Amino acid sequence: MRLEQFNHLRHATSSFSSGNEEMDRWFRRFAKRSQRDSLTRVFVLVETEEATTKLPVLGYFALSMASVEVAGLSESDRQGLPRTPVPAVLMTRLAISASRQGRGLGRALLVKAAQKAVLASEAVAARLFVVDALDEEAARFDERFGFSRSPQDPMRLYIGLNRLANGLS
Amino acid sequence: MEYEGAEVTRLQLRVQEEFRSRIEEQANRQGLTLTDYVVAAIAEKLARDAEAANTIRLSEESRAWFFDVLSDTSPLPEAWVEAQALAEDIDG
Repeated sequence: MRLEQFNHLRHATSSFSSGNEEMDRWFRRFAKRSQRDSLTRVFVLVETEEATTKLPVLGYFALSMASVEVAGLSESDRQGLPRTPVPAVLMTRLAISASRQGRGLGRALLVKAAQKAVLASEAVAARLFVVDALDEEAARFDERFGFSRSPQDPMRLYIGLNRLANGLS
Repeated sequence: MEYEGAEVTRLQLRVQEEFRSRIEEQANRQGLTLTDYVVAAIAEKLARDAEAANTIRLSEESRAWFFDVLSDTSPLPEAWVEAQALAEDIDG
């Protein structure tokens, strides 16, 4: 298998089905536009074998840059901490084709996304990797990887990019 | 906002006549057609909204938690080890 940056001329969108309507609709209808407008970078997992037709997509994730602001910060609060807004890499979506679920591909793509976030942070100094969980099960999945739920939005989870940079090979 | 080779579609809007006149007046002053003026305004709004969507605003109550996350230097959980092994089968 291979991870590639999404290209609507090379990758099939209409056949992608993860079983989650929102994830599927976004990929089919908006991934091309979102990437074209540089709002997100979309990466897709495909089989390594070349095909004459468009490649079926086994899974995808979408990354963008974000910034985190904290309300009511005093100067003393800021000591030893970066100025807010704190730059972050945000993963808004990760989905695996229904036919390939249950084989660890979600975990593998999480690693790939985290590696890309670490690389991005080396270039643009992001501090956090933030992921949006689809549901409670997905949020618990992320927690097992050390992500911390935001008290304000429990479906949005955070981990320091320093930890990922030190811990990922 | 135009994309090379993109298909063009119609977007019909129902607005009050007075509002339409105001738009036309401003568009005329700037030497733009009504369509160009409205499309430019919507494109600006789209760009602002896209930027806002990527700004995460945390409340004061989240402050302590947020700083804990930022200052956490603990090793990654074991789950990453197995996941990395799975990711090794993926090129790119």
